[in-house]
Amino acid sequence: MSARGALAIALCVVLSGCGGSSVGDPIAVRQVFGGLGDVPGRFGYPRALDVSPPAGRGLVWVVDKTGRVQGLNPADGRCEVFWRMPETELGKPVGITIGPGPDERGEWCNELVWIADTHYYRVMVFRPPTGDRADPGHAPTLVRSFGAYGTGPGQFRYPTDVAVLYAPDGRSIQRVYVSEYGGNDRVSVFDANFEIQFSFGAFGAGRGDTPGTRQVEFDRPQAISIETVEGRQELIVIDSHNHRIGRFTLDGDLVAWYGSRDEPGDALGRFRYPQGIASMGDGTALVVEYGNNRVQHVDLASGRGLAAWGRPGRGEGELAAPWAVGILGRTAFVLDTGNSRLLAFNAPRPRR
Amino acid sequence: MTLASISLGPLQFDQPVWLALVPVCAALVVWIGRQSLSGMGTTSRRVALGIRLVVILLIAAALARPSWRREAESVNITIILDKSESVPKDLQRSAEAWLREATRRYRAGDLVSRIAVARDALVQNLPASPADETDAIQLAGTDGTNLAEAGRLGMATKPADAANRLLFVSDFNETIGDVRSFAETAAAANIPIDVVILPYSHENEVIVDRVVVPSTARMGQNINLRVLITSLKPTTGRLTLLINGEPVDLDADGPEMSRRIALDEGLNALWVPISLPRAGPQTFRAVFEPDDPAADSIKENNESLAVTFVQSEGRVLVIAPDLSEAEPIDRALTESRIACEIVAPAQAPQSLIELQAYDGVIMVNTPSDLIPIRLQEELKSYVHDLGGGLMMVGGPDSFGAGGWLGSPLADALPIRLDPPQKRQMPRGALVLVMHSCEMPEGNYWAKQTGLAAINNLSRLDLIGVVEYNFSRDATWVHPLSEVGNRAAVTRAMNSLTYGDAPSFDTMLRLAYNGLSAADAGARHMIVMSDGDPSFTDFNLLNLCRAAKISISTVMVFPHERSATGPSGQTMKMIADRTGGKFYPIVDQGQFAQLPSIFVKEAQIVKRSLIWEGPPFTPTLVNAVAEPVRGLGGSVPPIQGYVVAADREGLSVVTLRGKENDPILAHWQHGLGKVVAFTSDAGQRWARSWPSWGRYRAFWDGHVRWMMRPGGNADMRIVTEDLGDKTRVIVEALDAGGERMNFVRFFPRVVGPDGTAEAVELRQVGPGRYEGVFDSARAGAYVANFKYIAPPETPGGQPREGNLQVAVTRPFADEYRTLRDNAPLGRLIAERTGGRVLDLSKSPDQVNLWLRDGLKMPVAVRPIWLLVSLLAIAMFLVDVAVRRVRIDPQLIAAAVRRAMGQGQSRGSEQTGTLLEVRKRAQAGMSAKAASAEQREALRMAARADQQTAAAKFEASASELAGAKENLAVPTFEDSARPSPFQRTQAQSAAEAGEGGLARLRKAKERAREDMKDEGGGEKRER
Repeated sequence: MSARGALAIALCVVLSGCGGSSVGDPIAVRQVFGGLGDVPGRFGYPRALDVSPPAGRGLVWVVDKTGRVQGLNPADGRCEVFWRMPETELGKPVGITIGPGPDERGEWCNELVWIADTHYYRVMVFRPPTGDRADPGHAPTLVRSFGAYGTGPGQFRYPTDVAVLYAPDGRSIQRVYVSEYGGNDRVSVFDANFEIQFSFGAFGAGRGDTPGTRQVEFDRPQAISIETVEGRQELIVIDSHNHRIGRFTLDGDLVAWYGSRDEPGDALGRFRYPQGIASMGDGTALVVEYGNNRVQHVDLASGRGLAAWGRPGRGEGELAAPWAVGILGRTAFVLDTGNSRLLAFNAPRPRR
Repeated sequence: MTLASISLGPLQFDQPVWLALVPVCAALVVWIGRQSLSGMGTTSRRVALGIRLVVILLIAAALARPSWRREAESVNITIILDKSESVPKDLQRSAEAWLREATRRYRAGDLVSRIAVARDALVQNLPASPADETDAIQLAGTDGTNLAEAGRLGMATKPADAANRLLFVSDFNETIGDVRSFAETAAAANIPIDVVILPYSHENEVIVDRVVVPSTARMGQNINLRVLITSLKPTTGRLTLLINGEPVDLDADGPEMSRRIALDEGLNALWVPISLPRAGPQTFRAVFEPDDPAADSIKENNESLAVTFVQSEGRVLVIAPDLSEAEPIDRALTESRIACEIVAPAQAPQSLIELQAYDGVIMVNTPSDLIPIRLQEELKSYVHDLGGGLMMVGGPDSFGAGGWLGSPLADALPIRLDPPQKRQMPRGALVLVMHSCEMPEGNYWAKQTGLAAINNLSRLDLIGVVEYNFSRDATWVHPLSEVGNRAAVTRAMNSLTYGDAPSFDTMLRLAYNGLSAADAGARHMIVMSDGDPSFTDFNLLNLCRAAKISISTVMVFPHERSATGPSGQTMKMIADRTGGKFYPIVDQGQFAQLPSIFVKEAQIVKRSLIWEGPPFTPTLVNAVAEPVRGLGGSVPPIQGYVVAADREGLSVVTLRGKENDPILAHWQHGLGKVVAFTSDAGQRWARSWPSWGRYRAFWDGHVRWMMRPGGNADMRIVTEDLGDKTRVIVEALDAGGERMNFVRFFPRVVGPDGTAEAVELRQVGPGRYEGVFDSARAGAYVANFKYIAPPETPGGQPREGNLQVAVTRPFADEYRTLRDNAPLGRLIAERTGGRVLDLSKSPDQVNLWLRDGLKMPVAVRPIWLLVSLLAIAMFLVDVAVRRVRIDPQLIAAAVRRAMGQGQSRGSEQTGTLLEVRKRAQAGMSAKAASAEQREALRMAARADQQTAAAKFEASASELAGAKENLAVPTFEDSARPSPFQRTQAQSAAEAGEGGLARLRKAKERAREDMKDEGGGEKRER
């Protein structure tokens, strides 16, 4: 073989190994955690995931369809914190957000667990137990709970996710955003005292695409996230059943939609039931798609799909109806819900 | 050590006789070695001899079947925890807490397994580290205790590589099995049983032991009912007595129905005279309520049941949703002096005992969804096992059009409800849209309901199943196609994955596309979901309506647990806008309705099974058949009937309609008889029948044929309680009071769970027959004894009849226990060498994994293959030692060189060798400067080639030349004659010798060389 041929092959290998993989490729999984089970460290249809904030304990948090909240060690998947939601008969939570906030005594706590307790129409905020064992005896402290059933201001039908807006110094809360579905598909905005300020959006098949409008329609806004895009903070809404992602100002004015209800698809930049989002911190984000069984790397400024990983299946690097994604350091975690497992893989390199 | 095997430390030899080879062979090897190894140096010889001895030892050891023994060090304890009702709940909890503490003190490697026991035993966890989490387990039947089964399960799951102990944590009040005989088994297996006795004693308790009534009685007879109540202390309370659920006035003087009674300590008997005005089984229930609740510990044993069968003339039950449809039948039967009772389906009997009051059941135009599945199964059992009669009369809601296809009763009918394949009929198309159900056993129910609908379709109908799949979105699990033999669609239902669909849109669109393209008369969709998926494709509903596709929605267990929440609103809207129905199932109690909802919905596509048209006269065939003998050879015309098909077997069709469809048929099914009439009773299709002169004869003939024969013999039945079994004693007397011998009984007992069991009834004396059946479960057991007695006079007709008896077990024996049975616990511990552990002691003082008295198991692993391989390896070493000479000086020199040059690499070594060879060739070329010498060099090269070509045939000169060629030339070597200097004559002379001779010479030269190099060391030859 000529030196030129060898070089070409080596180049191909290198490019396929570290470049953005094409649609349909399995994820290059580094570690697999969980598996179906009722013991700590295993899951039953896990549906929500988030990771500890920088000053937190460095855990991956998962809530599953048995109503258990688990904090997992990202290195080995060991369950370090574990509790059951107080009520689960009507249904289990589908949203979890980890972030700092004032605890029940008003003291600033680096890691609170905000649960969208979907089928009990409320948001519950817990201070995780400080015990170092995943022992059910180490119950969390309920810091607060807000919301009640209804369609009025500040009421919820089925809350799906929580996003918290912090002051620039990161030591106080400015706003809390809560998304919901069930015919009351909207985003409600609360102030630092958890008083309702306003809400935007209504249930529908996706009308309202004029930039600047608040008259938008959502069909199950499953996840929300505050991201810095083009130098300013925006609210990103994953409008799952309309197969699109919305950019909104913090006051709820539409900036742009990416993807559309009429054209769901598996091309880069298209979505099919996007379900979760995780910020890369560089103006891009990882979006997990329930319908496409993949994780897509999306440029939030342009809506361009940069890469995608994953394909349907139950084998290595394959996904079955994934619900959520998170990034901790250089590792991305995707919640492979249908396979009741958590896949860890190398997050793409952030842009400069 | 035994005669069969010996153990040497961890080694065990199973055939040690082979070890005797070692001394014999060792002696031989030493003796032979003195000869064959004499050419070697002393050290080499000793080494070679030693290695040979090792080889011999290994071969002998391999032949002796060696094994490696490893004695186990860990102990497994199997905890068998009694979860039965007899143990007070507080005590169970404290025992579990005690065990949790006690199981924390274990050694590394120790194991624990857990078995929960009540009526059945279940493994909670297999042997695992005590540190592992255990799953909680729920036992279904806690109204019994079967310690022996739990023990056997413990024995079956014990690990083989650990010593084992069993730990029974129980009150030792067993109701099933015999734990003492199990203890013998455990003792034989050297497994000690430790026991923790759960101590309790109920000081205050009242038990309603029995209600004693005769098994059978005659109508109008007065019986003395006796209630037996045991009380541990004198107490007072109220006794209530109910007959068939209605209270009896025991307090004739006062306003209350119940009677206030005072109980003495011990057994109390109370007598109540009762008159029996009604026929059929009479169920008596006695309930005692103490004035002071503290006077009674166990509530479950405060009531008791008994049943008396009151014999009567034949009675028939008529079930009709529209009572007016049954009126003509009622008139006909009354004229025929057959007592009949007409009820709506909701008032129909709900148990076999109640059904037993009737000798036949007639169902008039009754759809299957109005008869609960449980009752359908009991009706089948009533006919097949208890000999009752059944007649199904048609109408638009009956037979296949009434959803009876695939029902439990379908097999009992003398016609097949599937239309014949040759019939050209409009068919129905049904699509099931199945979504995951977040309810207890949701997938099970989804499957059951889907199958219920599918079973209701005929083979020519179209069925499709749609679900959401995570990798394909909405997908056809079973594409819309003919039902056929149901195998494919049943397989599809079994393979549903119940994906969590985000939206209804794609599923409904897929189903619509299939249905709109289907060639079918009626098209329908059933959507089953928890209502969680969203729906926005409203235009689809308009399309469905335009295509006459109706959608019924079944909302199961919505998150909001309400029919009117967001989920309910969506699903109701889908049904309303397409002309379907909306069924909300919001709590667990409604689950049982699911199959009947699906059956009812499936019937929407089954209307095509009805034939209606101008009046025609059905053809009477088989006019000699018993039920139609009195019809005079013809019947009036009819205008409609439900299409069905002939059934293979013993079914007799007596009336046929269009295209030879069966209209009237009968057959014997098990012990009972069944009639099917697919036209109606005269309201709609057979309007001229009620005025027909032989209308009464028609009903009289069929009803009397299918009714259970009463019999005229005098049979007396007595039952006897044997604990978990019941003995039945039948005294067979004929009408004249004579004992009847050689009576053949066909007894069937139907238990509380509806399962029928055959009982063997043996003659044990003149006219006396006995049999035993299992009656361990609480509830009612109904036994029917069909009998055939020999004819009274030779050549006469055999005497046939039926008799029934019911046995009730009001509450499980579990509730009779008043205190623990500690002696039994102590007995099995003592018998097996186990310990009696005290629950009151601190768990820290208890070592559950106590090793004292345990025989640790030994794991034996055969290692003959390993030993054989070692022997082979040593044999190769032996050969190497003898054939390969190791020169310590050369090795030392090489090491020195290597040390001097630093670390050498293989390439460097090769380079050095090449260099040396070049130098040698240059030296030789210099020496062979003359032309002769060069010629000799060429010849020598040719000889080299010949040497390479001829194995073992090297000449002496060639060998010597080769030796010198390979050697590194030194200054000393230059003094030696060069191979090329050897004369050709010498070479030719040697070439003339045989190869063997040359080899011998070469060997001699080699020995001389060795002698030279050996420094004059003497060698013995």
